[in-house]
Amino acid sequence: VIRTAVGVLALDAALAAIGYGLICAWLRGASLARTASFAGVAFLAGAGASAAGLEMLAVAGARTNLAAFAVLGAFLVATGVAIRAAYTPAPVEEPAASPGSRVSEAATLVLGTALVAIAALILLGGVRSTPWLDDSWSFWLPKGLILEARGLDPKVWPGLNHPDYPLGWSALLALGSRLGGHIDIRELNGVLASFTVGFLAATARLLWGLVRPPFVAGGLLLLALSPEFLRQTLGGGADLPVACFVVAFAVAGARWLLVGDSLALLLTGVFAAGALAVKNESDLELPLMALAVGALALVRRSRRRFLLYAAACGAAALTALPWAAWRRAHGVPATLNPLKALDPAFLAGRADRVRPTATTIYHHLTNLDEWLLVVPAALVLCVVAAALTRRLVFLLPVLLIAANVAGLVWVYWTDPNDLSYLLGTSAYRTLDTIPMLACIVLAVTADALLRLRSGRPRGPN
Amino acid sequence: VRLSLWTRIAIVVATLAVGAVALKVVPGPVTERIKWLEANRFASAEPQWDFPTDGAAIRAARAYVRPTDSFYVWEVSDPNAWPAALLYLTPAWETVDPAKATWILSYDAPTLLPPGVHGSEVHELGPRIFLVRAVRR
Repeated sequence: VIRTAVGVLALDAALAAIGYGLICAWLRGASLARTASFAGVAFLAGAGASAAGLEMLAVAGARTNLAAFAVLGAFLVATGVAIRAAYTPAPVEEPAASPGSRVSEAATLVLGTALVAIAALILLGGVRSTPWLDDSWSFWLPKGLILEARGLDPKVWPGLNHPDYPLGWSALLALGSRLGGHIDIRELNGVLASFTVGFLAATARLLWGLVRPPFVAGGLLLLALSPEFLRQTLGGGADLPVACFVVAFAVAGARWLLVGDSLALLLTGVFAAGALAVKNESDLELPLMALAVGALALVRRSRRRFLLYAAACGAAALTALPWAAWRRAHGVPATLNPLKALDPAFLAGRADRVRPTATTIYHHLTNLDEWLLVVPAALVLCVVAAALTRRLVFLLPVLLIAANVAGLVWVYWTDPNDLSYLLGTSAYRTLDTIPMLACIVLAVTADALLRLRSGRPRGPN
Repeated sequence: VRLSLWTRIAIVVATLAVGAVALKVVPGPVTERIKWLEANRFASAEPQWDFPTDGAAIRAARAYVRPTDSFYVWEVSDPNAWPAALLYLTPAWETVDPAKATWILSYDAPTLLPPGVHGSEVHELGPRIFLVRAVRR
């Protein structure tokens, strides 16, 4: 297990280094402590850019081995250095970053300590345990090993499990295996643990200045304590990583639109590209998230910010086109056919799938033993906040969560496979984005509501 | 106004101590799951197979199969044999046509080789698990 842990750490270090290179323009002259506070952001940015880059390299005919990863990493770092040479970002005001009162600082310390302790347990638990989800060994890692050794072979690929899934996650896992020097399935959980902890650190950094520290720590602690979140950190699947990227995309996009932090604009594109390179759920979740977050532009009424945000989303979408084109060229259809899935006759013929799907999703989201009721709590808080303040912006998360649930129902409604099997084996994890987003919504909304009620209307509202 | 260094240290230590005690005495889904996370240490590099699979035997085939070889998995009873072979024998090529394979991984199969395939060297990897070099005629 030591070799495996070394492999995971080496991959983590490489991804963080690539990420730091990519964002170095925004860390010019920063203190060591400030630079260190971006570790999660750098890791997630490096992972997102690498996943998307490796996928494009594979489609271009390259093997996604360590040499290709080194070349890609050097290219991404060089891109970051070129941005640094050509562009000086404007300083970003972070009004809520100060802990404020002693009570607030003490609360931040308590919640933050608990969060760090749970994160440490996730990391330790990850690298020493075997994934419980069969997806991990039946296709995620084997596909990465094939990409690493032989590249994307059109003769072999269509015969594999889920050939339509994106390539980035598999490619990253295989690199971790190669860096560890042997095949140890625990490596998957190590990488997964790094992703979840990296996500928590990145989200905390991106919310810093938008939301007061006790609320940031509280919201993320709620997520880290959710039993289903903890269970899935040892699963070895790609559902948590894709949810991490999608939610981080939303947070970065909101940060750009609300405070004009240009680093957040870059991250918006990188996280979206990462999500698209990890798993298919992002194809539906990202557009919904992009629309909802884009509506925040109405709050700031900044046409420039909105156009640049749209450009970042568009650029991210472009990174997924080569893989879509390859699939089309080699007869690898997506599980879900969007045209068929919008056909009224087709939908009507399968209408009996809607109720069991909705019931299952409702059960998972409202089960205390899974997600600690964060979704109903977030919905209630948003409605209360909208009623008390008469600000419609508080209803945006309600619409977003409803749209995500509706989207999931639609996916299961139109999926050609047996519904009972699908719901039983995947519904508990394909909805990860919703409770993860709800925890952020709880933090942001509670802080904004209390701020408004106490007559201090600064912040993200 | 900020808390002193000693106060902050005391808060951190107290939080960890209270958390450790709560983990021991407070029942519920959160503490149960954290304890599960703490205790969940499978000391194996092998997957948690959802069907009894001899992964170690398939891993042992790596000693014979070269990266440029191809392999075919001859099995009728274990759906994990194929993905396990893919996991452990890549970068060798898997093939769905036994006539094109360099090696046949015969896994708990009714016969040593599929019909029409002839073999030369046979390596026993485990109970009823063999790696056979295919001979093309």
